[in-house]
Amino acid sequence: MARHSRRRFVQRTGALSAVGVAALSGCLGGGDGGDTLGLYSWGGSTQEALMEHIADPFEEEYDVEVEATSFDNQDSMLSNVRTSPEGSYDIIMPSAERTYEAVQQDLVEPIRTENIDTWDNLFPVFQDLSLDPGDDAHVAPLYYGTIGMVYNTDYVDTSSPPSWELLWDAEYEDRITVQDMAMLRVFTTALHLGLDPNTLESDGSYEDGLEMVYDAMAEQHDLVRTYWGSGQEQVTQYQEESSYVGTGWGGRILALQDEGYDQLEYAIPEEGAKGWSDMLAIAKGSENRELAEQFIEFAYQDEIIQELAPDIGYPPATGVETDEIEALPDFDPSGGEGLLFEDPEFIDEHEDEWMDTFEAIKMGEY
Amino acid sequence: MSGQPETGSGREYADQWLAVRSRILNAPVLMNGVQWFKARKRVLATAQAGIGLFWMVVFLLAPLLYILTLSFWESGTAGTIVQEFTLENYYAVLVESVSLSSFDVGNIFLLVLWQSLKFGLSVTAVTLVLGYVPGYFLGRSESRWLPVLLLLVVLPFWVPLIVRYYAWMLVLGENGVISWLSELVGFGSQSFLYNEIAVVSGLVQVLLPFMILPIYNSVAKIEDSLIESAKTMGANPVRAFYEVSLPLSLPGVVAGCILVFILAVGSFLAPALLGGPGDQMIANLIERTFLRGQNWPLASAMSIVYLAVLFVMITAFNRFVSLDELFGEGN
Repeated sequence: MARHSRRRFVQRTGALSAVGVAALSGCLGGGDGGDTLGLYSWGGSTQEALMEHIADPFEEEYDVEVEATSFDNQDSMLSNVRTSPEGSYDIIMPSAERTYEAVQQDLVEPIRTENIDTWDNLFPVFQDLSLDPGDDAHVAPLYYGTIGMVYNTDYVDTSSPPSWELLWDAEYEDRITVQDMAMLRVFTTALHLGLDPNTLESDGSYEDGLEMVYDAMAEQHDLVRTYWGSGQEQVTQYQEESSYVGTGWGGRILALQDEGYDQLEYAIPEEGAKGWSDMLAIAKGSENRELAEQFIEFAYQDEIIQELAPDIGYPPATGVETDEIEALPDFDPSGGEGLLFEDPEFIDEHEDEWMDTFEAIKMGEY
Repeated sequence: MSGQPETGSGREYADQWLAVRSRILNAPVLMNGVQWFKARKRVLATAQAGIGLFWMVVFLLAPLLYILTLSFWESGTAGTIVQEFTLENYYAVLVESVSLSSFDVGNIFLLVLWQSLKFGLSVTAVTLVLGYVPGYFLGRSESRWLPVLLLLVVLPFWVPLIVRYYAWMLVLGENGVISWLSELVGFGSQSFLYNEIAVVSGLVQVLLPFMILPIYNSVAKIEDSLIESAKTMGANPVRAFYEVSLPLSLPGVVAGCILVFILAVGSFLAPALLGGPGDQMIANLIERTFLRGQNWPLASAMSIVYLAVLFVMITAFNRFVSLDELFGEGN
């Protein structure tokens, strides 16, 4: 298993292929205690909130500088970290969907939780995350959410609580939009069919369950207007009323409601919805590992995270509670126990095939 | 010398300046330098070619070799790469079909490739129909406005591609111009987005200059006397065009078609932004395998096969209409 040399090879040639290497200044003295922390995070309003609520006060308190760079999706983040020399970043932000890959591809250091005094502020679910492989913690969840349902109350009358059934309702033909990701289509369709999304078994048979899921996906395909790829595309679909009902993210819909789109609602259907979380992780080979741990410790303080989370639009992964947090669309009173996370090993085993079939369904070849 | 002229007159100032300039230009040092460079023109040319070659090797060939290497390695769990030689990726790309117990979908890569080639052909055909007349007109034009007209053809290049596609989305969208027109005519407002036609029309709009310019180029080279003599021999304008201008403009047509075809088949943004659920093209599939699938070896094999297919197609095309003759002419 030439793992180490593979990484080196990938990095060298990757650097040649120039995938935008951010050469961040680390402390050349080596070891811990540099004075610049490289933070590679989600961009846009998330980045603004992270800077305002965590990075800026952290800079003040520790007299260091936080250098921020951003990505706009998890896949390009992984590829970028993978092809940059070790030590290019100190903190990266994997989400639930890519935690397993980040750990398996050896892109993150274990988090030494004993160095983080505020670690116990986290809900138990997030301290020992099911999708983080191995015994060590590799990710520090900041906030969580669900991939639930969005509907436009001007066109969709929904019983309360709404059901995924709506996304198979011929009444909304050509007015349905769902996310363009095979794994999510399989997961959500399984919920709709009442199957366990992490085994897909119907009477103990994965094949039978999968076939039910595919059939339902093909049925839905005939009603779908478009499969949205990015958060922006999602927003555009609902904002311009190209689509009336579909899947989406609570935080985005909250932002739209704040802009005056009162007819849009976000809900977690009665069958449940897939949970997710955005996390901090310490990049492999970081020369400021201790400072990065201090950054995580700092972020978990009640007074910091209770300001950050509502600003981003999602409830925090720690036990802090305010009225504002409880009013968020994704707020889970059970402290994250109600979140349905995916089983990354199950997905890794089958995702290629799901992707191919989803492609075929989209091309009308199914 | 003091730079200030004695008198304030501009004329004198200019004369002085010219004198200084010629003294500088004729200074022995500079003259020798120029001579030296003239004598070493070959060296310079080699150096320049060297820089270009170096650039190509580092930024085109090296990544390509890397991708070629990757395509023969195994993919491990969770997107890791195992450095063991395998032909598995090529088997998956070319042979394997997606099937479950009850149905057979076929090979996704080949399906998508076929669809891309169809897109490429229809875009090329439409672009040729729309681009030939303007190209021909510009080539035959003796108008003072020709430079302005040519500028208009290349003007869109100053607007980033993604902006143009977004603009096109606005044109085709529910509240767009076309929808407004359709309402006017009485068909009601409707969206023309997210389908095959949206992708083809978007690509045509973006790739049109690549068709017009080569056609303009070869039509502009046609000697007037040839057409005149055809007319003198009694050919009407239509026949003169058919017998003389059209054949002579073919090099431009071929060049335009090849450019447009390659760019259309490999397009990524158009299907991603304008296409509907089923309008997948090869670039989107490769990107998805590379990023979402985290399967670098498989995505690499796809890229290599795609390159090979294009190469074979262009070589075959070359056999039919000898490209060397077309591009090899030195005038």
